[in-house]
Amino acid sequence: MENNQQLKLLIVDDESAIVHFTKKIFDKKGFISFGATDGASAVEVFKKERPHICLIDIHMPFSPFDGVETLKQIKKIDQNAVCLMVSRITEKDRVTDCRNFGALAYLLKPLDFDDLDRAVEKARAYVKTS
Amino acid sequence: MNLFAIAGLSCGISCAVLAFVALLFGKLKVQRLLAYFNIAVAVWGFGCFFVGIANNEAAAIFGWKFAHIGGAFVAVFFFHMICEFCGVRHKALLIFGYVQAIIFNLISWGLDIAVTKTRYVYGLYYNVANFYVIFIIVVYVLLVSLSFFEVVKFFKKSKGVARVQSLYVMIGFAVGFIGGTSTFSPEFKIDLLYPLGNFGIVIYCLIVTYAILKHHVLDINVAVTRAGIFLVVNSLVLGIPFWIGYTTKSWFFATSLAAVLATFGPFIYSYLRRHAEQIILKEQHAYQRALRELSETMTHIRDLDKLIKTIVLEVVDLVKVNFSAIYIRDDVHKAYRLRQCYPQDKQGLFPKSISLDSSLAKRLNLNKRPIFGEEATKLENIGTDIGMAIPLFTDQELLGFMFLGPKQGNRIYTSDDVLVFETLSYSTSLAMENCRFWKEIEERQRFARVQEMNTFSYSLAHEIDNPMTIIIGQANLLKKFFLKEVVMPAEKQKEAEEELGYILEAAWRVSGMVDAIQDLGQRSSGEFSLLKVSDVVDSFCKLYQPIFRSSSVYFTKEVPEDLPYVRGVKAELMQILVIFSNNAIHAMLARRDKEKKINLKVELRDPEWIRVSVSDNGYGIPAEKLEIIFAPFVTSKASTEGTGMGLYNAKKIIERHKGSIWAESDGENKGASFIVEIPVAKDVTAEELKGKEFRGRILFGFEEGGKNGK
Repeated sequence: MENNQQLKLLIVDDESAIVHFTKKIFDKKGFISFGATDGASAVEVFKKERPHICLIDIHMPFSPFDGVETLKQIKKIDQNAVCLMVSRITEKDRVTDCRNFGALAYLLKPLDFDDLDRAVEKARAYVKTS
Repeated sequence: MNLFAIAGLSCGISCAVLAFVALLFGKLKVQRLLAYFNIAVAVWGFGCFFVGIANNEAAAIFGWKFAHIGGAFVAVFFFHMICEFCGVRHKALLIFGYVQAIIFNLISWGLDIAVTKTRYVYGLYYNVANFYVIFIIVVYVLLVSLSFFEVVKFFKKSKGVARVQSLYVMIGFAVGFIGGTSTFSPEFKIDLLYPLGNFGIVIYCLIVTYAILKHHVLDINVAVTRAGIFLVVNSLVLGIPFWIGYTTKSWFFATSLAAVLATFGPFIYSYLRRHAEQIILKEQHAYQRALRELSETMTHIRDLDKLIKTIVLEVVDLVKVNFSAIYIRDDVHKAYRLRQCYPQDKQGLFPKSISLDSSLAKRLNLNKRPIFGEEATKLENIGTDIGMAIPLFTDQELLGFMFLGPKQGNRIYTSDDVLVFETLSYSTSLAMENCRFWKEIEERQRFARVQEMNTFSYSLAHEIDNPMTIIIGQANLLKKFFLKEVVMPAEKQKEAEEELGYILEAAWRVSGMVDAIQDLGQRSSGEFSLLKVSDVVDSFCKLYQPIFRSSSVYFTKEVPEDLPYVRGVKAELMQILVIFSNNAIHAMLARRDKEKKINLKVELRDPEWIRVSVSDNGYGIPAEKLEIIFAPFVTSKASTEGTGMGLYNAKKIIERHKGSIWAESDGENKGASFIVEIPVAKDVTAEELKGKEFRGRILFGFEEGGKNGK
């Protein structure tokens, strides 16, 4: 994939402040980033914008459905969506669920920006150009 | 009627009564033999009575022949009884004894050649001994002497109750036999004294009766009392009217009186019986009642130790035994362990533990009934004589047993006692189960609390985490981008960068602690995974650094790089470090004079074992306690502070990890080291290693590089 092509990024987290600074950081890095603070609106944004990479928080108590469900729905829309799960939850079956539903990676919160940056850089290689 | 007849009659009656009582209430072989022996003596006594009242030779000869039926059997029954009592065997002699008695009587009654001649002396037609009579008398002397020889032997080596009993047997029978045998002398034409010897036999009966009542020989004292009262009441009821009728010849009045008395007789009998029993058994009833009450209250006690203590104390107090001790099955040590003994100074006499398959335990398991005195003492090597060993059972499982010492004054345990102790043992077992049940409930409640705490700490962690993520993210944003976009002097820029660095560092520390709290809380799964001891130590340090600081402990650690993997549960291994550290902190509490130091050292002892040691410079452990501290409920802390379960739990965890755990100390006030060793993981598969190689915070992902190649 061409490096100069602007990549679209979707950040899903029920904590708006997290969405806010993550967006800001990636914008500065040259991405076009979108934010969503619940699963439903994340799926809406995905349908509309078709972001290349999604960062999804799993534990979202205020969302109609949680991160795993969001992942499932996004994958239903686009089988090739590149999704990175970002969460504290480390219960084994949730992690396995994410893997089974096609998440590319599972990152543990809280993330150092460098970690996140590296993960997104790696994920870039999985993005299929349309 | 002459004195000889009276002696014979009283001898006959008293022995018949004894025989009746022994036959009626005796259950053991030795008691039956005592009855037969008394029948034989009674026959002899009645025979003598006939002789005494005989007014011609023929009647006297009949009396003598009758007397000699018993006389021939007396010795062999006595001998047989003594063999049984002392537990010795003389089979050939016994057969010989019975055969000679039977043959003598066949000769005497069949051929009529044993008792044939009398001479008139003391106003009696006294038998003159011929060959046959001499023969049975010789056999008689032989068997009786041998019997006494055996009793004396038995007396010398017996102890406690048996010794008292055998003393009475010895004295009683000696008096009886000296008396009885003396009546033979006129048969040999030795006329030294008027033959009053049969009164000796009456004395023998009195002594034996006394022994039965006082020392529970035969364990039929109650029965004897009842029989005695029965006899007295009935002989009065029938005797008084008969006597009145006999003397006044007004039989109508006598018969009416008899009818009236017979109506009241049973009431008088039961009234007297009740009172007599109350007097005889007063003491016994008192403690039996107390034990029953104890049984009832026991189930309210929920603490096993308290329960056991109560039982041993009360039993000694109520039953007046010399000691009591309780052993309880301990599955950790695979043995019955001494839990409590009273009085305390007898503790040295009892072994600390008795193995599960010792002959005593096996026997109790099989019979499920108390074992008495010498039998119990023989089964298990204990420093003292045991009065009774009582099993504690539930559901066919031997939970433990109780030893009771001999009763004070060497009195015997009666069958009533046994019943009471069986009840006591049953309710003790129930109460023990009850205690275990309560303990289990407590355990469960504690477990539920722990789970609740885990859930709570999990959501707490989440709540802390989000703001931390924001703090870290925003600080990062400021540091990496914002600072660079703002125009300011390079010096200020560097300063601001430094300040943000402090914020980030602090934030990461909080985040690390939240991690560690979650790690520690995650005990429920208990699944083994591949992990590095250094990670365990890191998490532990994050959690415990603040605690060390607040306890002013100087904490150091030595962890080499690149240790091999082990298999285990991170939370559990952390728990061990927590237990060790808590103990170490506690051991140094009193140390005001010196710096408090804890050193945590991890080393690869050899290619297969990783050793972790936590050393302190606290009050140390005396050498004799180095092992016991890993047993449950052992604590040096005040009872409010610790459960005494810490090191026991650590041991359990290490056992699950197939490692070993021990403590080292140079002695009191020289500090201590707690050490665990766990095996290095073998056969680590590539699959397991996947993801492990990713440093940092990626659980899975990016294993195979880009699919959609660059």
